[in-house]
Amino acid sequence: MRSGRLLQTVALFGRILVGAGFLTAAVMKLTEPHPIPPARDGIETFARLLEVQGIVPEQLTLPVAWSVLSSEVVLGFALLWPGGSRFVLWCAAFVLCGFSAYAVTVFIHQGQVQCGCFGRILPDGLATVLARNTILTAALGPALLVGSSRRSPHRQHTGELAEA
Amino acid sequence: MPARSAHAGVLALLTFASAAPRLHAQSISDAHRAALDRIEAMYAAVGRVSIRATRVHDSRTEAVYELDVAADGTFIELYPAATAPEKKRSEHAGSLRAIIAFDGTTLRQGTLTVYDEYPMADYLVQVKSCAQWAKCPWPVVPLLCRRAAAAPDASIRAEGDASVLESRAAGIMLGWRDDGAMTRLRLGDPAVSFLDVTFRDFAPGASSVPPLPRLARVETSHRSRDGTMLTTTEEYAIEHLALLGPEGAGPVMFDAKALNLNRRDRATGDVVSPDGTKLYNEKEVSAVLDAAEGRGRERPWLLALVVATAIAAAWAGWRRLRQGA
Repeated sequence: MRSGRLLQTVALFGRILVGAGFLTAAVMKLTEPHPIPPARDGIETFARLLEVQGIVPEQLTLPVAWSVLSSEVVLGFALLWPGGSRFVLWCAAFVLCGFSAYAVTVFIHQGQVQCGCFGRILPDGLATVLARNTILTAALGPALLVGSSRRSPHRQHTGELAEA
Repeated sequence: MPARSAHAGVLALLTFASAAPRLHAQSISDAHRAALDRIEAMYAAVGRVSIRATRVHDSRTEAVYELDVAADGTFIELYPAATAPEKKRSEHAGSLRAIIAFDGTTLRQGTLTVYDEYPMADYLVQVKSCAQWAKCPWPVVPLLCRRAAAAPDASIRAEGDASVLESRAAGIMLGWRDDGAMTRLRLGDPAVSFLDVTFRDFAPGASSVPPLPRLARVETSHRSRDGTMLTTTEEYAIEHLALLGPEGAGPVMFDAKALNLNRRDRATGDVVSPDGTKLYNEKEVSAVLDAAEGRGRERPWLLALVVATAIAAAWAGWRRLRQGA
């Protein structure tokens, strides 16, 4: 019982860590104080970086940049919302794995990757990006475990019937 | 504009250096040398140039800005007030203070105190602004001609109705028509990383000035590790605002000491003076500087909001846990 409570606490703080991480990434990108000309703001700078990385087609870089930012904001708030669904957890894990896969793809393609996940283009290597995303994905693990250990109403009902 | 005049003042600190190399006598015939001298003279008459560039193939960012280009490729970027809202103008105050020099092999970009160096092979050169003056290289053409012609592998050949000067060693290719109109400029190593600019739609030139184009197509290419060439293409409508003549021309060499610019090591963040003394570490003080200059002013508030939301979520989640217990 006590370990269950501990798991729930760890799960709660895992969700908060990842949720706050997503929101921080969105804020850092959006409020970039040093946009790279001709980009005029952080989101255009991020789009320009995506363009140069050569994976996303040029005409899609700005929509993709906005999509990444939107998904970070939505997932961030959804993870911080008390009692959020497991669907949100899976979405967050999927997005983090997607970011890692993208970083690996860029690295394979170009031999280097500058992530720009947190706005300003910092010399974050592939190892830093992968380590950060792995830690954040792992932080969602307890929340997913807690979710799967809960019985759905249907399973609870069939369990009661079996006991009878 | 005050920023422009401030720049002019800083750039005026520099004096013309006699850095022009001699033509490589063995590789270029006398006839070609004469043609090259004519081109150099025509473009030397352009001096400093001011243009307005409008991105035409892609309206997503509506990039409209003015460039002042000096003879060494140093340029100042200005965002016209009419095309930028008030908020953007203040954000671009940083851009107005920037000095960006690109000599075809190394990009040096910085503020009036600090600059970074980016070798052409660094793919971040594509992210930075090296392509900007390539849209209007007219003041730089004499320097490029001299540098290419001085290289041991320099050659001039006819290509269609244009003459082409090329040196792989110097990383320069220039193409021009008989009337002096510059049709093509390539900078860098075509096997690794390069800019390729083609010019079209020429306006008739004045008496001493060659025809200048109204369209510039800038291709930036970089070979990735798996061998594929990554290319981004931008097309700009060019409006020439002012040709300031030789007397308006700026420096011919980027001289960090004359500009009192300190070099920043991008890896460590160390800022080093021209005489090699470490002054400070930029990473340690950048947050303080940004706050002092008012950049990213909303960022701390939004980050505080994120922290507050996370604390509220933790508190609400903890209460739910206790109630469930």
